Amino acid sequence: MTSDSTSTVTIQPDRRQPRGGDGVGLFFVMILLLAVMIGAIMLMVRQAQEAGERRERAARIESLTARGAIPVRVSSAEPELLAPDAPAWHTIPAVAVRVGPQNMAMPMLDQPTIDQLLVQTLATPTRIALRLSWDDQTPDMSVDAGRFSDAVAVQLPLAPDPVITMGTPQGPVQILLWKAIWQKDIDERFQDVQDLHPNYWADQYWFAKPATDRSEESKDYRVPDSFQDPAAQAYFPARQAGNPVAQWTRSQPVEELTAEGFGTLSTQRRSVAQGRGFWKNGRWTVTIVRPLLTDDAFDHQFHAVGQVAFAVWDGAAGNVGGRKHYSQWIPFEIVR
Amino acid sequence: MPKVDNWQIGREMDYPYPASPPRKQVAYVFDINKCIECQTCTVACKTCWTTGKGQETIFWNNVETKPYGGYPVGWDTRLLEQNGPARWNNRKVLASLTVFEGNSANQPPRGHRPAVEDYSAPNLGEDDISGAIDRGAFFGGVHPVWMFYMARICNHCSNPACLAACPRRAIYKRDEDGIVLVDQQRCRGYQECVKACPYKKVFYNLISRASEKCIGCFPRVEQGEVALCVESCIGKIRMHGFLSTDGPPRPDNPLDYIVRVRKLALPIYPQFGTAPNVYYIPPIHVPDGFLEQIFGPGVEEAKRLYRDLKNDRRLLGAMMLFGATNRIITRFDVQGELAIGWDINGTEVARVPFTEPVYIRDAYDKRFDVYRHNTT
Repeated sequence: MTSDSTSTVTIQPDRRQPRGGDGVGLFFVMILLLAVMIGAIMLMVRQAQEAGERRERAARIESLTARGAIPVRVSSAEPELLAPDAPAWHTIPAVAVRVGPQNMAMPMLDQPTIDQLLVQTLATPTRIALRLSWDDQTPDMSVDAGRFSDAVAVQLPLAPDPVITMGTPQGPVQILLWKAIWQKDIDERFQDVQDLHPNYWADQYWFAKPATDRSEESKDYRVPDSFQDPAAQAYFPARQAGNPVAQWTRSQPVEELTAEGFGTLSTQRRSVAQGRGFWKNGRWTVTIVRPLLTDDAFDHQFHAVGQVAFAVWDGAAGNVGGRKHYSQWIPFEIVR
Repeated sequence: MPKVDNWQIGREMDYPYPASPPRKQVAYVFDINKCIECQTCTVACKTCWTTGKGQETIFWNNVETKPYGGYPVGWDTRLLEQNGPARWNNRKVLASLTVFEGNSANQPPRGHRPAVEDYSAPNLGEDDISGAIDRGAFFGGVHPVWMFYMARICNHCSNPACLAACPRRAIYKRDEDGIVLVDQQRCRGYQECVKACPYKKVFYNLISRASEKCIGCFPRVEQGEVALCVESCIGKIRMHGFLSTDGPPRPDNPLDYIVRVRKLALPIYPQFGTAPNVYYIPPIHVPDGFLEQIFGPGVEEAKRLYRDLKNDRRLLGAMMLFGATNRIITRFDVQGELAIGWDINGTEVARVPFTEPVYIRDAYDKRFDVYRHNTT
């Protein structure tokens, strides 16, 4: 912890005491003066200690930065961090993380379009937050055949000595994945066919009910409202099979996953990570916030030091799955 | 890359996931000469399987007009451009590269990804003929131009490119019958399969955000029933069955007999190397050059066989069992004037005479007190 707030003792004069300079009154004044002096001395000592700690932290941060590690700064309070433009983020310096094209496993990324991520981090007494930003000329947030979502991911080890390539069966990793399509689902509503193709309709959606216009000729079938009948839902096989990408409601644009090698990515049953992202002036800014410690065996537990890696996808350039940009493992340290 | 044997191209080829073949391989024969493009198959399939939201432009079964039609648009010509022309040695062994060969180690099979618009016009090119007809032209016994209808479903390939392209291995080929399926629980919608399938029979569903494909009507196949597109075919152009994988082709298996023993029906674009399992009897009125590009070097011989069917009792007998039953015929025989088919349980399910009997009935029907009209 940085500091407990300094305790100051204030003593209210007791109005029941008779005014005047008797011995008892003088005694109380002396005690009061003594208390103030002791308090002042303690304060000075504490300030000197804090200044020392600040210098130590600054030196630690400098040395971490110098060797390419991420110093995680600490806030004693619990400021708003989920909003990518929250004031707390304005004062935190960013670390530039280089990313390169995935070229080890099929399918590879041929043409990189992103070369670095800016990473800001902040720990509070209970949470850790990351703010990631990168240049991208086009926000890719729509779902369609042949379209791919912008995305960013944070990889964390679940065992010592993890490999960068999404872990191994002996050394699994946890991945926190934010996707632009999920952000759009949350900011607006679940993306439907008519959002991109207003005139795409089938003559018949079995067991479905028109959403608002209930007339016989209505084509107003909306997901999910028109498809509440369990029989109608049978026509969405991925959703029926419990596929996490096929769900119509989503509370967060971030998914928690585990992996033990390429092609093994699996959505975790429990997810506590929160996130938010926005695109402005050719740049994505995304925050991911999580408790430092959890009781989920598939969650990375944030202790003082660790490693983290990043991946980023440019949807417009056909980035999807393994066609991604990724960083190496980067050590981090929570600098208290 | 590991090697697999591919009889359709007469040689071994690279394939990343060599597995022992399924216990039997689902297969179909489509007689193009009999297809009238009524789209009953398309509607039967769509009505049953793909009426969900997000499946508006998804047709697991479609019928397109060749030479100019195609769903999605240019599905085959674009890959032909990419892959180059097929070259065959001695009209038997493929000399050119399959879609799995000649790629760098970490790239999926060669393929292209259709645009959204390419799916939105399934009937583009419908009934278009191969060339213009001169003013004043007349029919002189042979049509100067041609077209034909090609019904298409998933080929449940022996070397599926969709399966090879999936980085999650969410696509699998069933051991019991060789049907290729997308695991709807594991798919994360990367669409690598959509790009890799040479036949463009894997589709991205934008509501499910996962890829979907023809499931070979597996719930029916498991009961010994033919697929809906086969059952609904009013022209009886389709036969649904299994190719033997546990030994040499069996002459009493109608699929083995037509495809492997007699080679009357040919794979579609065998040069891509996926070993597709929908086999087409080529249209006999279409020039060999065009057909060989699609069906490989066996076209001339297949046409000759087809033209001579009336003298080829056993082959004709197998052909007569098309559309004769909703059960999958696994064994057949020609006995006298009859072609007979049995299902997997050994139950006789079809008995078709070579010559349909003729019944002549009185114009006046005493039982119902009506006059018959001279119509059927």
